[in-house]
Amino acid sequence: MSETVLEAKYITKVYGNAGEENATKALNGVDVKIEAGDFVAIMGPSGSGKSTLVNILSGITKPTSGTVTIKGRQIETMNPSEMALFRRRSLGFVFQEFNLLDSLTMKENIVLPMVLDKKPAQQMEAKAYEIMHLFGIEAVGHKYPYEVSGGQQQRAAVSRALMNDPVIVFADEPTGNLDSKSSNAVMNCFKTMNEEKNTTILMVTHDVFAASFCKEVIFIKDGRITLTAERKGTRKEFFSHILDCQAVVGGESNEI
Amino acid sequence: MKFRDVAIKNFKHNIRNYSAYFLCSCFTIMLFFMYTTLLFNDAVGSTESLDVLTYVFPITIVAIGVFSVFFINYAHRIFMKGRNKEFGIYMTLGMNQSDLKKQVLIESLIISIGSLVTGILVGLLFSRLFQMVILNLLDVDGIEFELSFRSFAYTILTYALIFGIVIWNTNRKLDKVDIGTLIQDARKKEGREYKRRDTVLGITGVIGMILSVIIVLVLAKDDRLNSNPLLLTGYMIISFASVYLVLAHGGNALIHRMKMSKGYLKNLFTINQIHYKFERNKNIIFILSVLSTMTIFLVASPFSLVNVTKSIVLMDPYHLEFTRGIGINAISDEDMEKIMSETMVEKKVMLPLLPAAEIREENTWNKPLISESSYRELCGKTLGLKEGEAVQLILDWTPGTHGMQKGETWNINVGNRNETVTLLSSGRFDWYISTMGSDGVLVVTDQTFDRLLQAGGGNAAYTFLAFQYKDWENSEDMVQRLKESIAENGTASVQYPIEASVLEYKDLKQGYSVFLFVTSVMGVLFFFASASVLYFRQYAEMGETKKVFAQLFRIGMTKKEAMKVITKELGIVCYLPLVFGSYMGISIIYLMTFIVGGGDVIKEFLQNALLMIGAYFLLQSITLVLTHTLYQKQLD
Repeated sequence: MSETVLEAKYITKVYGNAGEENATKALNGVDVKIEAGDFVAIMGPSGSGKSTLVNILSGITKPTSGTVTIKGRQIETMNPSEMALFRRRSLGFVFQEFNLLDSLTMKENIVLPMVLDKKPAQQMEAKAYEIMHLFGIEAVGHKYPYEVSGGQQQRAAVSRALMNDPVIVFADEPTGNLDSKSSNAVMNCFKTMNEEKNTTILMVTHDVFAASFCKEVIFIKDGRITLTAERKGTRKEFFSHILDCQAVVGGESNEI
Repeated sequence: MKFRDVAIKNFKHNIRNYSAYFLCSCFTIMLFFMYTTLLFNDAVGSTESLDVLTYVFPITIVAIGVFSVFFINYAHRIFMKGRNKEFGIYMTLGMNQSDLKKQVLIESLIISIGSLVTGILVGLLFSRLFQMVILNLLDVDGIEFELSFRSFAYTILTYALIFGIVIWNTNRKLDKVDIGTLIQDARKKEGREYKRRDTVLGITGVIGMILSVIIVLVLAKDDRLNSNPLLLTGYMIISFASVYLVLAHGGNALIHRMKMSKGYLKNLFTINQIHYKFERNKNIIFILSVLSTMTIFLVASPFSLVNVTKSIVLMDPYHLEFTRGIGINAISDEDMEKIMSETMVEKKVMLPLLPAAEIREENTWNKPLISESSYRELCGKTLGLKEGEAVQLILDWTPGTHGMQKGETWNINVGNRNETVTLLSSGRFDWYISTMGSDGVLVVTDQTFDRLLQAGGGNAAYTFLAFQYKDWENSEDMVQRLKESIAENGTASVQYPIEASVLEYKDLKQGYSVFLFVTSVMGVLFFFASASVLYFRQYAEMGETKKVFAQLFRIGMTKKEAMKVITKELGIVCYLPLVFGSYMGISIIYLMTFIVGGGDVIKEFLQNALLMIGAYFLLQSITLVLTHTLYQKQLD
């Protein structure tokens, strides 16, 4: 049995003052368990709470109630300094908007986590080269983000997320701003990360194509987990299965 | 690669952002330093005709202080907002909050110290140049450029405090931020949602503005109140605070109303652009209002003064006045007539004056006395005094009641005679007289005056002489001959000088030229600051504006339509401050005119001030056109 990397119990998130008329319950008692080597997608309609969930699981925002434990450490009890260090050394992030600094080259953006951790230059160079080569972007390492395509930028963001060998990588709509070709390239990167490096990945997406690369898809609606789909056959079969699940999640269960 | 290298790369990439904040700080410091070189110039401080500046300086220093705090905060806010996303990325990658604060602190310190040094150096250079140019233009003597240690000390201390506040405020904000907010913050609108308190506070601001006008009307005419620097400073603070409330809260309430109105969709974009940048726009409009107020006050005052100088001189209907007594300005009537033979005398008045009656209550004063008939002959007015009553009339411009209040009972002593009088009122004489040997004169009934005159004996009475000429402007030669004649017999008196309209007119023009120089320098500095703030705003926000309009062009907005929106926004930022500035500038001019005893020429002062405001609106329109053209070029 694989080691549990992330465990979230009864996560609730309320925006506004609880009990007030205009309070919004974005998440309502969500439980999530991710094991080492998992590649999990969270899907759901707009406003279902999926981005809120991944922000809470990654420590970017705090839940109203519930606990999140990553590698045995409860993150919502950490103070800001502990959280910052934990984020730097144990977590990786990939965002929809890439969030690269336009002032740094692609390679400099990638090594940024190691720079913050004051790692030796040689180690940074070696690791950067290894990862850039893995994702096929070593040729554009010297260019600036605004000089390369969206797909290449996102691959740089994925590379950056891996630099400090994170325990888990969180990805929020990583293909949201990409064309189909770039989406394919980025998702193959994730697949490579997961298969070759055994990286644990938790991804939020509304893109069925992206979700089909995962091993498991969790469906969330109105702040609750409604369905879980596990990949059993080929990616194409899983793609169809996800579509079926989406249809169920989108309507009443007795309609299918 | 070290983090320092990342920071340097970021600096180079964001040089526009950094340089905008740096330039803004330098500019503010330069202005302040130039102002203090004037303030601490001993030649300016010791010039008698510039006593009025003791009232001007506290007003202007409050204005400059307010301007500095708001402008530097505005520039710093833009500087930080442009970097929120960068900070968010660092924090996502695990940068510690304290490391982030340390980095921001180091950068802020470097920019603060750099701009302080540069601002002072540039201020030093421009101060000298600027003052030399104005001195030459105005042909002023007796003022030289002077550098005081106090200028440096005041500037460094003031800006160390301002930067300290800015850095502390930033630190406080960084304590509260979270990653999500930082990353989103670059896109979040600044304008906050309407709350009911906005209407309440907006109305409070309007009431405050009306109250300020009432305060000015009351303060101006009361000599006890208008000379109090604390009251003046308090009034200034209330006025500025009221304007701020109207802008910050009234503005938000107004935007809310506009969004609820039928015409909202027609002006959707303009209203939302203003709301989106509300915090910045509000601060800019407030800064510009403060600057406009000072420009109007500082330029309109000397401009009006120059124009009303003759009117001021002719407030005194007599063109020659002096007091003659035993050993004082002794000249016989025959000698006088000889000297005045070529000057056509239209009116001659000779009145008895008891020069120094002792007036006692708790304090003792020596003031001259005249009878009610003498007053009537001199001024053509009746006071209606009853036996035992008296009126004090203040003869110079200095504010206050000069030790005697209405309703007080005073004992007058001349020789062995003691008379008790009750003061009916204490006000200003119809014009300034410096020839009676005192700052005020007591007018008593004819009977009281006669009794005291008799008690004083034959030598007690002096004679007050006053003449009106047909051609007073050309009477300088005659006046000089009169003075020389009196000086020759050794009876010229410092306490009882000979005053002539022609000499006063000449002195005033010369004296005002120094005042004109000082206030013009200050006024131009404030105008220059005002134009620079507008330019800086355009410079700092151009990148953001271009981004927004690029998005709009993609969905079908034409350049012409985009320029219309920009023009509306620019128009509000250009003209609204002038409206507030005019309101405050006129109020201050009104107040200052009464403080310096110019109540009689208030109408001319205000007319000239309105002319100046008209010219300012014109200049501002030119600034608007230039800024508009700049935007147009950038959006191409």
